[in-house]
Amino acid sequence: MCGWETGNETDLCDECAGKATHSNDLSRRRFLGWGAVAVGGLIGIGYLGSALRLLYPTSVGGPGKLQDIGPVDSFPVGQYILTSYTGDGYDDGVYVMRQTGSQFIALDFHCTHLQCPVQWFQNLERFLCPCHGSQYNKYGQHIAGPAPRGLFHHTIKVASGRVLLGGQIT
Amino acid sequence: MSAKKRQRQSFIDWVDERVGIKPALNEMLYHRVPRSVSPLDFLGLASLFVFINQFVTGMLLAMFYQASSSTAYQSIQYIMTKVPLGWVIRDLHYWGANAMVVLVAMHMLRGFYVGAYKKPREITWITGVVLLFITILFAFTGYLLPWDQLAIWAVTVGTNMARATPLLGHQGPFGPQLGMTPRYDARAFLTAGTLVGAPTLLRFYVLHCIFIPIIASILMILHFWRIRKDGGISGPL
Repeated sequence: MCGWETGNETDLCDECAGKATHSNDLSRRRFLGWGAVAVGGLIGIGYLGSALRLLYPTSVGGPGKLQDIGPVDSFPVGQYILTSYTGDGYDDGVYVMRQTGSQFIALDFHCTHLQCPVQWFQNLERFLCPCHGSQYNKYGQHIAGPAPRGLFHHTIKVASGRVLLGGQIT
Repeated sequence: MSAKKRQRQSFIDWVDERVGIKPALNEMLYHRVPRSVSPLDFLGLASLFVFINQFVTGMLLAMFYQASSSTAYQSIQYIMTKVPLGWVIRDLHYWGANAMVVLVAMHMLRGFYVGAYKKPREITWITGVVLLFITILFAFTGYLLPWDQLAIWAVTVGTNMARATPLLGHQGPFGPQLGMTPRYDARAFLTAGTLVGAPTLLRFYVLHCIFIPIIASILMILHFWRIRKDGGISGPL
């Protein structure tokens, strides 16, 4: 009878009370008990930390970092120019077209089927995917092939005569 | 006796006075085990640990996963590529699911070989066998949720077996005589139709996240209670 069984301190045997024969000794039972608590606590902290990181709000889907890709006048009206966006930490091909005066459209060059780079054909006014034949019109809308949706857009803005390209949006 | 120790003791006393927690604590923390223990004695505990892992990571994944045929696959792509540590949580859930099937099967085999099903431990054994099937159901329903080709065809093949259920399947013994048709039989009940489609996805998701976990939890409580009462297989009767 010791420990929780009696609940009476005076009934605790030396081992349960964490007292070894010598006052400074750590009993084997106590050492293993705290060891188990420590290992369990570390695992728990790992899970809790991952969960908090997972649930922490992110800026994904927002405009992302804006990147200067040149003056407005360097973009001819009605023609797609392949440029790259590096704001996500890697090179990402983006087709940029000046529609009218300061109206721009920016399309991610990855086919939405299996991420192959699509090619712009000016004479057809279409984006064609070399891998499985998906086709998109000049606004990036899906018109043929296995792709499930149109091309992804990028944020694009004009500020004081400069074109600013941002991250991918839907 | 330090002051901190005294305080902890009195807190436990406070709770014990109201809900009688001491016998349970005593049973859990000071349970006596034989001196000779084998790693095989801990297969059940390992299964419990993986179950808790599945519970925690599953709840986290449910915050990003969208169980509809048009968004399921994309939401998993989103978890794997865009959510911070999303790939860690999903891989933990994925490998945990695989590990759980293996661990639970080993746990059952071990119990079988040492004769743990014998009197007086029949309830532990019976709940354990049901829990084994529950684990497989968890794995089967979870398999559909990524909503890729593998998932759809694996579940098509799996549910096709239900066609041959005796009495309840339209291809099973005495099924047609009882009025089973492809549209109304055990398989149609599972897939919510004649094909694996959008209603199947939602049905499997709700089974995976609500029905099966509740049934599993109740059976696990029964299972653990009987293990403590009857003694683990490692101890003498």
